[in-house]
Amino acid sequence: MKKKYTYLICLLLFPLMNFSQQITKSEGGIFLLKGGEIELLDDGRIQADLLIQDGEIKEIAESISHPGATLINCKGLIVFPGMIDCGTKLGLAEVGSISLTQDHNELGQFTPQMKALTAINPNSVNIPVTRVNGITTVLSTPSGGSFPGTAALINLHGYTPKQMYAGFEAIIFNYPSTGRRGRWDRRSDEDIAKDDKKSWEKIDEFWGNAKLQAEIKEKAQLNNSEINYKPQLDAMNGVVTGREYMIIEVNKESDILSAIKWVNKNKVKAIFSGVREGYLVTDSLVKYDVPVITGPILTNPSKNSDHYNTAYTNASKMQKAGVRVAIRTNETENVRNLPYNAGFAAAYGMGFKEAFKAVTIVPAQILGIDSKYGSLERGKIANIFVADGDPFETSTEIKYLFINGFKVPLESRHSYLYDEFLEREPGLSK
Amino acid sequence: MMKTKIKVAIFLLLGYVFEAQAQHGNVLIKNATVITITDGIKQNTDILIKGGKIEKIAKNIKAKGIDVIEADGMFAMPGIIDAHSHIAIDAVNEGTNPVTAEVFVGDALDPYDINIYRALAGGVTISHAMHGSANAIGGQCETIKHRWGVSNPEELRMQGALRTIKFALGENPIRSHGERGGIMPSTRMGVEQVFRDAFSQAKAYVKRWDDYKSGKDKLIPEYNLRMETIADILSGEIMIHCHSYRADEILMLMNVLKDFGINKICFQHVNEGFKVAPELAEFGAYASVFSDWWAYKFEVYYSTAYNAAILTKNGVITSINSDSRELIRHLYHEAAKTQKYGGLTDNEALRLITLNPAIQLGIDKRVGSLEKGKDADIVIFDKHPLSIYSIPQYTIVDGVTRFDISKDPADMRIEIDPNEKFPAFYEAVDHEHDDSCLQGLNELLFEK
Amino acid sequence: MYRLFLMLLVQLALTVSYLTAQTDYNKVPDVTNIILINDVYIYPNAVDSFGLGDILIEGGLIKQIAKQIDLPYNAKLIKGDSTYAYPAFIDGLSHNAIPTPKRRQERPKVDFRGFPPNDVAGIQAEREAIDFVKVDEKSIENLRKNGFAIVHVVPRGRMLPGQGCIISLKGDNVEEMLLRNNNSLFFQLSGAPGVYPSTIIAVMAKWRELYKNAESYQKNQFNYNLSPVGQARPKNDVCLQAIVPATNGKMTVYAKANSAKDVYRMMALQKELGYKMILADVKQADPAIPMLKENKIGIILSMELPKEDKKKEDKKKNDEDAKEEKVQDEQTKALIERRDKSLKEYVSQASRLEKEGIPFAFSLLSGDASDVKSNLNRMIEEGLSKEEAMRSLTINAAKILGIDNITGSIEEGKLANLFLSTKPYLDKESSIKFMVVEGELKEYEIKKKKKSKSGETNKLLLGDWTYSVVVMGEENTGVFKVRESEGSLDIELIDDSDMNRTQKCEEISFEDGVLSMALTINADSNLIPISLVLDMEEDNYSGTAVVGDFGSFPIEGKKISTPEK
Repeated sequence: MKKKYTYLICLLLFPLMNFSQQITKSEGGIFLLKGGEIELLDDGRIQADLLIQDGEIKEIAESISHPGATLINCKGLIVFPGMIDCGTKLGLAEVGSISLTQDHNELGQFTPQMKALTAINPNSVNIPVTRVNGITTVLSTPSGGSFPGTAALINLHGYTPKQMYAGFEAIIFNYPSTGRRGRWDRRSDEDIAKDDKKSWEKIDEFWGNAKLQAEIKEKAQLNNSEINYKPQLDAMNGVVTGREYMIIEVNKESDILSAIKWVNKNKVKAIFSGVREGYLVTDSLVKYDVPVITGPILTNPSKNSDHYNTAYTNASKMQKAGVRVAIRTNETENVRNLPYNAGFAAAYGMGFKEAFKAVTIVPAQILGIDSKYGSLERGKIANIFVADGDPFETSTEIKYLFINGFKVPLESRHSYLYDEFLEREPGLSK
Repeated sequence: MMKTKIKVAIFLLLGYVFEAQAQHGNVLIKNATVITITDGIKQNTDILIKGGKIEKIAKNIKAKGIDVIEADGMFAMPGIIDAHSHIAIDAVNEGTNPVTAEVFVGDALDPYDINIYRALAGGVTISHAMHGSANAIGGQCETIKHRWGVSNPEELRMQGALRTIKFALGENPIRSHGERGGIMPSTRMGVEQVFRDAFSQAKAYVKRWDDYKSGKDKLIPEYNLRMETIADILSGEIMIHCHSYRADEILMLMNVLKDFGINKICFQHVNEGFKVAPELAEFGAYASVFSDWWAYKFEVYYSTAYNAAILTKNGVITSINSDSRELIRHLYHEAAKTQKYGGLTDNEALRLITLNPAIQLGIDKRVGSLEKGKDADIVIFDKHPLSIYSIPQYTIVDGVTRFDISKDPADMRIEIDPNEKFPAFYEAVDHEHDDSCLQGLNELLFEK
Repeated sequence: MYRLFLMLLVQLALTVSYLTAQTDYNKVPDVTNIILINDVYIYPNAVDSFGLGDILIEGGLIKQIAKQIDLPYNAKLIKGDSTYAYPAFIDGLSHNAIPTPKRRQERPKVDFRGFPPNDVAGIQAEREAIDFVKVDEKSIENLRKNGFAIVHVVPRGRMLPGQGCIISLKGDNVEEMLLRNNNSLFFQLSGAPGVYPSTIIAVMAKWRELYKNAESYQKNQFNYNLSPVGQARPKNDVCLQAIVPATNGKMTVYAKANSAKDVYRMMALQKELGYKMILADVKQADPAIPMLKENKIGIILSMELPKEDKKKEDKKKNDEDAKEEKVQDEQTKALIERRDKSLKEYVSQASRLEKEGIPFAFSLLSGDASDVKSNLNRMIEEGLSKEEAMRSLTINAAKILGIDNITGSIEEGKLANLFLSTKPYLDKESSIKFMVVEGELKEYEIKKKKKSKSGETNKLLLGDWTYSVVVMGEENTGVFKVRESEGSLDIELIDDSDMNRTQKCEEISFEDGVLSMALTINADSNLIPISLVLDMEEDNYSGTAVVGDFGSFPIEGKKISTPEK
């Protein structure tokens, strides 16, 4: 086990600390990452230089020179594509217990018109804390009722939601669960069945009305007529017509099977999220080619009778069976643990390569943004981090971070407090 | 003990646990990389366990008639100790009064809690089952050994462990009593006075009994278990483990303790401990922290994941705890995060989940390191325990293998509800990060 | 709604006073208290047969048992007709004979939840069960017709609901019923919602504190009375005073312990404090059996068993469903097996206690007296001997309660508590024809078992039936129409108050002559769910109607027409 960051190094860095009291800004420009190993996922790692220009990866080649570029020495380091977390509330929530800082949960069962992108706080303290661990892009999702709103994919750098927006939005559907909500949920099986029936009655009606609204809208467009203002139904337009993705949160085995049927019946372009018991229904997931965003991996099994490693192995079992699996944290302030969630999936059967793909290229493919995100390729957005080792290992240090081609400082509230308090002045004396 | 049919049936079903009926086992671990914590790392070394104790750590130990664990290429380290958890108890918070020193979670131990087994599968052999943090002075806690398979709650107790009690500062007691109950404390000023009142009342209580015992008073004074318990805190027999976050409240409690002559305390969570690390070190206070939890409430908004590193480097005896039935399954990974956040050495990081929590629970003479004569609580990993790729293979408690990955059937439940056709599926399975789900549910913990 | 509830209360109060004032003149007077039962197979100790013989009862006691007794001139003769005479059963611990609280009570407001008054906290050791017993409580008759003559009644409540009493199910007033009082203290690990002590840990702490204070209470009172001058007067505390007998061995603590964990907890407390204890309403104590044996702790098992899984017929499914079902099967087979095993362990617990030589009684704290025989038979299927099953409800129960000198068997000089069964009691076809409690005789009609296929049975129901039920002080009458459509029953209800409205009944089931169904009525724009359980005869029925939170009320009616063909 390599040891990084020893006390000595800390002392060596000490003069920098005073400097870091000032806020460091991100730098734009042209960057040449020289002499590093480039992680190419399925194509292994190659020794090459990488040029960042205009926010994109301009070139990856054995030896690049560019006179205007800021040189970044990556000798002995590895260059990775930034990680993507497809299930977070980052930017929508600040302090857990204070509801006034929570902007992901609107009132009502049917609120698909609520747009996460509207409420993303670009200056959330959580964002720098997350990105310094190599996570460059996240999906921020509303929560709450059956159709809580529209999630947005954002890059973790920028001063307006528009600057951060990474080109993907999707309506969330919380598929009615026939499981128990938590340990405090003591409903009888019959009551659960009743509740399920009740919520489906409303959902069916809502879905039917959304379809009708879409049909009316289409006709109205043909003969240039007006349609009634129905924001909830209008928001569903893309999903009921099968044009846009819908992310369906579903976890229990029987619910997943039922959701697959529902998706086929209604011709929905679906991405499943959660999928805790996906490992039990891999056949169906593969047969109907349902992409899956699963996680967290670091979580308990859903049933007392489950094997202790059920949650650790779920992603791996699905991936091995041929399901397209991305890994998420479902977190807010600790989205930074994405590499460790992937790391546990790697340890429990998935291996590094597939697990790393599950937080880079696979989510990009699932969301349909792989032409711009998810790997280090010419022409893709320059979301990159440079590290001195395996990014899943806690002993690995991230040395450089680029988002949208900006060199982002590796600082956050956590590092500021460390710098200030490691050797507090004054100490004990007054 | 195992006379009845049902027990035999259960143990047959679980197969290996059959050995578990013996409280103390004999095992020889061969050719492991032994991480002793107190005496460096020993390559290709054997550990001989007899009668539940470590008899010898050396190369090429020969022993006959004893189970052998071939641990070539594996890493053996002391069983992980969690200084803050709520598993294996049926009641957590008696949240009806700001002071409930008399209650004792050790009365409500649950040896059938599946989370014991799951913790074992994460290498945790001992946990500190704590009362919740609804009250400024909560209940007494119990240090338990993860002897999965026993049926008598008594057998979970770690006999001889220091008595401990839960205190709590800040938002939780304020919310539980000031906000919800309309009584003091509703501020951090009030929290201080709760302690001062309780300690003063306990002193008066002790005096009443002294007067009776000396014959000054004829009538037997009222017996008050709450006051008895607080008196035991004053006399040093019970150690305080205090739920705390903000720097100011941590300093406040140390001041109160000084005034009442109490000189031992372990602060739990202590998210802003890093701000007052020199004061903590000077007092000799311990700190038991999360690796990286923060921002779930306002009093942890100004936190840093570097807390453990700053405290350690300032000389505070620090541990990393779970306070969660989820985190308890990978405390080795939580400890490893201190290498990212503060660059602790391997041994410093591992001490956070072994010897240091043992010191905080007053059991370091018996556990927390691999040394001759100590309890044979050992976890064996396939790779270095601080690597993300490492998976616990065996977890041994008192020389008895309670987790063995090669004999690990899916369904490990002991107690099965005959009225429940299928085990329930829970959508939310982890410790919730916000407290909203706890509203109106007094029996649930208001932890964190 | 609240107004309705008040009306209901007033109505109840009126009914009660009316009954007590008029009973004597309403009752048919007795002729004699001497009864001869002839030609019965007598099982004096519930197990061994005395053979065919006669039993002479006088003054509520068993006077004589013999092969042949001449009928005294002043006796009433009961023809045994070769029925089977058993000692009557004893309910080891329950709330029977105490009315069920009719409505969920609102939480009382307390000033400080940390210091609630004792009644809110559920610390009421001074209460006595006998004060809550009602002579006309319907559970009494239910017990009697199922063979019970004696109940150990404990008050309802939380941690310390009060002291139990043993009552005989005979008498016109509670004083007459009372056999023993103040020899049991009921203790449960039940917290008070929202106030101290709310959790089991607080209950256990509080118990220790109460117990220690009760120990010193007596000494303080004694010392003070010895020389009160110059001494502060010790506080009076009725609750502590009531616990004092438990601290000096004069009273037994009946500790409710459903699960093994509770058994261990109760035993740990008992060991620590050292009182006499009997564990009650035990449902699953398996792992603790060796400890029970070692410590010679008395045990009263719960008569309630987990329900057996009713196997539903598989409906025809399409291919896809069948495939999914198969996946489910593989995954859940083991789980179902383990569940079934657990169920078996519950049912077979009594047999394991028998094998360990631990005597036990049964409690009806949960469960119903009418299930006693079927539950005993389930236990017998799982290894309990028939003999021990019978003893547990008779002599063993009497021994555990300390009343075996006066009851628990058919013996000369003991209370005349016995019943006559048409067949050996445990026979599935047996029914109780005569019940004798302290010489008071009750005869029961033997119901003919309807044995027809479900389809045919349904046909018998078809037609219009009247109903009459007194709810909220008002008699409600009407008709329900039973029809059949597509092989299942279709029931509509028309109340006389609003003949234009029909209510459809749901959740209809008809099994073993019992019709159950549910409906929702709209009263003052409050939706009130009603469930009906009706015991159907050929042309009349009786049963109960559970009306929302108001409680359950007797309902009856008869058939007025069959549908036209």
